[in-house]
Amino acid sequence: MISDKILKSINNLPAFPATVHRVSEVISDPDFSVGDLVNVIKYDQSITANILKMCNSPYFGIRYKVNSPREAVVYLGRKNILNVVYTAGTSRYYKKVKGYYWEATKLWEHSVGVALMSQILAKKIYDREAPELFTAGLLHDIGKVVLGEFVHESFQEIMDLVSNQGYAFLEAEEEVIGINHAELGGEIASLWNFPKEIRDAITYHHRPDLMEKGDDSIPWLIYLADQACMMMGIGGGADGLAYRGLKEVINKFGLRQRDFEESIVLLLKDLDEAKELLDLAENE
Amino acid sequence: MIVKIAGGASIMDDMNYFRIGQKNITALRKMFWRNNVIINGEDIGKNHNRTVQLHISTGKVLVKNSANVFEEL
Repeated sequence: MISDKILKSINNLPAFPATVHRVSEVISDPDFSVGDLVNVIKYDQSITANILKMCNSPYFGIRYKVNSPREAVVYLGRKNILNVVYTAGTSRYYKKVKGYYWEATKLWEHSVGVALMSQILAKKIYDREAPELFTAGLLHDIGKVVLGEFVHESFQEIMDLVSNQGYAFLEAEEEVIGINHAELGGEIASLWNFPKEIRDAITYHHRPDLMEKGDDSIPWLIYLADQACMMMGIGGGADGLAYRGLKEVINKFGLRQRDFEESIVLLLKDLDEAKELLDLAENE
Repeated sequence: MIVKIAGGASIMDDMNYFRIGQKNITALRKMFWRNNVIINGEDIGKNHNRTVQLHISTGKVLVKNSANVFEEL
């Protein structure tokens, strides 16, 4: 079965940087010290370099030039540091994606877009931002990084189902390859020891309606953020907008048309200010 | 004046909510119709992204389709 081969191939992915999970652990202690956090970060050169690049992004609104991990931690603050560290540790996987995209860094652009949009929607709906949503946004399409190779090989077959037979891209992946990118992404997140809520958000990001039990608000929010980015063509690929719209999303969040459109405008502004985040996949 | 329009893609099954692509197309048609302007060419709707090129020297409009190929509109 081809999907067994694919499931095995995720073992070839480089391990998720331990530094990122450790930062998350340190921050989860309400009394964490800046010194402890800096000690975790500073031994990972690639993550440190990425953090320093991002600190100068207008998105975080820091007015000073940040020169060291210590300054980064102090100026970014608890909420942002986690998002920045996840971004710094994740961009490395998005340098080359076959099959879905003609331009290598488009998937990264899309992933950052969904992460930013998840914060905008969470603020609008729940009046708070949520770091686990940001992480889920960055990783929601991680399955494409591995599945791209297989999609590339069977591209004509998949596109024929999508263009001529009314399949959504996700369904065509299942039919032709035996697994879809959301499900595979959930497997990758599990291999990387992400908590259940993030794994579920990835697995169900196209079909949050299929989640059976537990809190499904994160998968629904990632779904909505993903749809918004697809509609706006943010990091659009070969799969385009060929995914199903679930109208339950409106009732789920009591979202009005105007709220959604306002959120999209805010997203375009955030993306403009977050160029340094988008550049990470190119510069590494 | 020659008018060509491209865009307005939407999510599948997007019948009952948002309909942003469909609304954009309707707004555009209305605007041109009110001003007695005829649309000479269009590549709209469906479920895929588009990239549009306008060649200033020739006035040619090219639209990149779902197969990543530019075609003249």
